[in-house]
Amino acid sequence: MLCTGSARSKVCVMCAGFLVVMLWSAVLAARAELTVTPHVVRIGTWYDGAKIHVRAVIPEGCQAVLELRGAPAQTRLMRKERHWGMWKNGEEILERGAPVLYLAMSTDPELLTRSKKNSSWGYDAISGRISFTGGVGNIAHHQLFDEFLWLKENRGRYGIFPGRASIQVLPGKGQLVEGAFILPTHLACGNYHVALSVVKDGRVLSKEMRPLKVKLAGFPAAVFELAHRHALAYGILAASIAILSGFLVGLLFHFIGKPE
Amino acid sequence: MGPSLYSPIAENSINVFLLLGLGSSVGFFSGLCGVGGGFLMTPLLTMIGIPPTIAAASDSNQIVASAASGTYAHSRLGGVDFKMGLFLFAGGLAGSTLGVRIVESLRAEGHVDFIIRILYVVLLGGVGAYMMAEGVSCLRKKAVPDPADNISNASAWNRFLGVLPWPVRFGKSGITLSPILPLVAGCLVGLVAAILGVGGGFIMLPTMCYVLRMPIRVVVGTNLFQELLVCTNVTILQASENHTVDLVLALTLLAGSTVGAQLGARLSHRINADTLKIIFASVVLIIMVKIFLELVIAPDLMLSLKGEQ
Repeated sequence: MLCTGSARSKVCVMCAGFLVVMLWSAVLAARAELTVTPHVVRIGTWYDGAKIHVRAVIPEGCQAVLELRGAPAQTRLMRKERHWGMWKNGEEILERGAPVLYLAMSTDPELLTRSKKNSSWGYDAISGRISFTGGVGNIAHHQLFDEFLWLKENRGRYGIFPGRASIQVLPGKGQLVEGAFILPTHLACGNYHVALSVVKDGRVLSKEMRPLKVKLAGFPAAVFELAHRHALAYGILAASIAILSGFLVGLLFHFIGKPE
Repeated sequence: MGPSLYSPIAENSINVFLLLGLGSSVGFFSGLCGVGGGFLMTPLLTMIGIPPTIAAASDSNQIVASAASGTYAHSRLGGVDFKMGLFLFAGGLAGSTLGVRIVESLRAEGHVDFIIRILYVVLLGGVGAYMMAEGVSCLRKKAVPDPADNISNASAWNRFLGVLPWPVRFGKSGITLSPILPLVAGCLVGLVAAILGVGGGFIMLPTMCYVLRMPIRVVVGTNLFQELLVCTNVTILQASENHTVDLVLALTLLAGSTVGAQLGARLSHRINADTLKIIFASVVLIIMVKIFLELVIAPDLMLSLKGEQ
């Protein structure tokens, strides 16, 4: 009995080992290479949005979803109410859990279609993580979430682009996926990341992530630093520059004889 | 499209030519019509996506430059009553400090931009309607009101001025007046300047003429001098307490407005003054109507980020 039991357990261990090896090889086969350029975005004086190129090689027969997202944050929102015939802000609503920036594109348009089902990406995934508290009243979660999406899309902070990522077969090397995210002009500094999900038959085979850093540089960085760390000195400097330039312009036009 | 400038305080990038165009257009209208452009600049900046609090504070900084330029020019001609200006500023200091505190608390409540918009509708509506009526009546050469009414009102007001305590002699203006009046007037103008980001000249000029009885030769220069001091205070307070002054934005606007003001002043000598008033009033009323419609028409976006309307 003992021998039989031991033989069975050996067989079980061997089967389990075989399964692990099979699964691991499947994971390795589905593993994708992901490159993001640039990986650091510097907001300088002439910043006017930025293009982030994403390139990945995925196994044959798979599809891909590319996401660019910021860290989850709390947002203080105000909802419009009508008072005395005019639209004004009502009570504050606190939103938690939604990323500050969310852009997504896919190779297959179907992958980013809103289905109201729990999904690993897209607005459905955000809807499951987000919460609204405060002056919510009787407004349904889905209504508030839709209004939240309109606000974010209007500000260029959210965007879903089904089928925007290109896919082409590389002979003997899998498939090449390419896409470009346009960062909005209205962008805050911080840490973001680009994620690639490799999908086959509705199942996520693997997920890769690369960091993306957004930081102020040059003159805007100096102005921001001064305005927040040495606010009084910044105020005095701003007023002094204005007074000086005003007197200089007055002096200039006085000398060239044009009317003030 | 042209290059865009990133405003680190507004966290947004705006087309340079658009900013220079706004600055020079408002400066041009200011120079053309002889009025300050602050009450036009802030709503225009809001329309291009600058949050109202940052637009108002940065505009105050820009007004400092134009007021400094104007004060310099008028002082060379002896048209600035510095003593009166300092009394007005003392009142303005209290008013603008109070105004910044009000902005701060309204901002925390999330209602500041709603209040700013309503004040703008009232303000632009009043100024626009007044200028339009004056321009049209002058063009039609309407009869002037009965001067007898003005004389009786004026003598009653003069009696009231004589009753006020602690009279002080203002040599440059040639008047003797209790400092209470310039202090109160300065306080009100400072309050409006801080909340709306305007110089306050549209209130101060008639106040100096009709309430303080100052001669017209020193009114414009003294007003510019007190605007310079009040807006300097507003700029420093807004920068240190609310972090809402955007130097990049203010400098770009300033570059456009100073040049525009000079060009406007040159053109004003060639165009009929009443036609100018009607043109200016039309612009003011169009902006007022746009802001008013935004308040009464159901918005596309029901949610907004706190701090914006």
